[in-house]
Amino acid sequence: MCETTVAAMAGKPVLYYWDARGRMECIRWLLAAAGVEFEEKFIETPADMEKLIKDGRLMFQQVPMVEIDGMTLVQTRAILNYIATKYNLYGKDAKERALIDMYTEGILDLSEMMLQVVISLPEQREAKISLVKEKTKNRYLPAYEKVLKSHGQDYLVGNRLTKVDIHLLELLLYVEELDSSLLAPFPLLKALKSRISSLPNVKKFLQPGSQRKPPPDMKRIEEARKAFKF
Amino acid sequence: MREVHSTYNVKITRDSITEEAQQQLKAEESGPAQRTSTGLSENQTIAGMAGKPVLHYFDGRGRMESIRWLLAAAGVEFEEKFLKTRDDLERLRNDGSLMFQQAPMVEIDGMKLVQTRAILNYIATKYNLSGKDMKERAIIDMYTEGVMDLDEMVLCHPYIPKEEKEGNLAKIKDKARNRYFPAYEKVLKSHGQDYLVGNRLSSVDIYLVKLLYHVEELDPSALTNFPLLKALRTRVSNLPNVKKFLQPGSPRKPLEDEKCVETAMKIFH
Repeated sequence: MCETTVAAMAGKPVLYYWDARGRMECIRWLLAAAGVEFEEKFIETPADMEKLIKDGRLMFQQVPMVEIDGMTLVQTRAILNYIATKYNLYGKDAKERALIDMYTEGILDLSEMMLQVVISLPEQREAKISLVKEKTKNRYLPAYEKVLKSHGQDYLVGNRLTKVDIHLLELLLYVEELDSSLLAPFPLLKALKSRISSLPNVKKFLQPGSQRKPPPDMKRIEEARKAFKF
Repeated sequence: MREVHSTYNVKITRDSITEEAQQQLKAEESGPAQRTSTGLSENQTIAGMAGKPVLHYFDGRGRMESIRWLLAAAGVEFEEKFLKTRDDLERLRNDGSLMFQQAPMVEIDGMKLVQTRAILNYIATKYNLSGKDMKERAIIDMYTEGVMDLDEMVLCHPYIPKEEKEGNLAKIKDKARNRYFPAYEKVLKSHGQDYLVGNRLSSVDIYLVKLLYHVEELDPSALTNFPLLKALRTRVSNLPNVKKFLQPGSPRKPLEDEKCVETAMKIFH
């Protein structure tokens, strides 16, 4: 039986990560969209990280880690899938789940490229940004626009909100931060973006003062790089 | 329910679909969303309709090998359509068969699925290899992701440029022996059961056993200090479906040699 903090025993998930988007942000989004309150414990120094490792709470010595329902879960997808299942955001059957997974994986592939831009060495950054823009424009956005066009429904899968709509909204906001003209040729994606943004839980999360994290601060990244050696 | 085209003129060979069939099954607009929840997609191949999954990839391990292992372990017969040239890939792309223009792609139950995890999750669920409830599923997912992180290094190794190979191998050895294998040995030690999760076979036992074989190919003494992992591997290897898959003549692919790497690079890069 793993250790659980008081907060976790009270029922709220507890998120362990840096005070940054990184690989935890999609989890914050999903919890928020599901209307689930959560606590955060921020890693600030290498000592914080070492303690988590020494206490045996990180199965692979990595974060994100989330304490939820008596489990100490690591690995972004494991955490997302559990939350989605628990809060009915994972489709109605195996086939819907397969589509949700397929669409989610595409989003995660592009998100990974975006993350690489943030953590890459400054001299590599420009090339990586070009790659992200190219893939966004020519591979990923067209694929999701095509899905929406094919069924004409308000959500990507099964005519109701699922986790992948939330993942996609988050991604579209990052695309917009990178270059707002990228979204211009995709009317259905723009409509989805508006629609999901207007859902009460999402709307609340988009407002200042929520647990949503701001765009990365390059200075902080370089400091973290030195301290945590990545 | 949507009608399936039945008027095409095809020669059905045992293991492959002819060019004619491919042409006639081409739909104007295709994609996974193009059907009702009970209907068949318009470009389902004959093998797909006969019930067998069809795997589209090159004749090598790459990112398809985990899928081959899982299907085999589940006792599911499947067909393979091997990409041999860049044109083969472009044809699939132009057909609209690849949501992100990438393979692996698996035709299964009326869907054209891409993305390894989506495919694996569907197969695992269908054949009862994803635990009994959502908490077991969470643990299975967590363990699976660790396996896939190490496997990513392993499956890329044949494709790493010559001058970087030694460094990559050192990385694999370090991560396998110091991070991943200890984590799974610890799991097995903690409950003393025959399988990683829920005291019965699940998808992650299969993925881990495959990984153990593949790491050992690159680092022969990698498993020395992990008796419970070795025991798991033996146990899983003796399951009838897995035993069969491990024998020569099965769809299991060997470690990529230079020729195989060259073919893959030609197709995908």
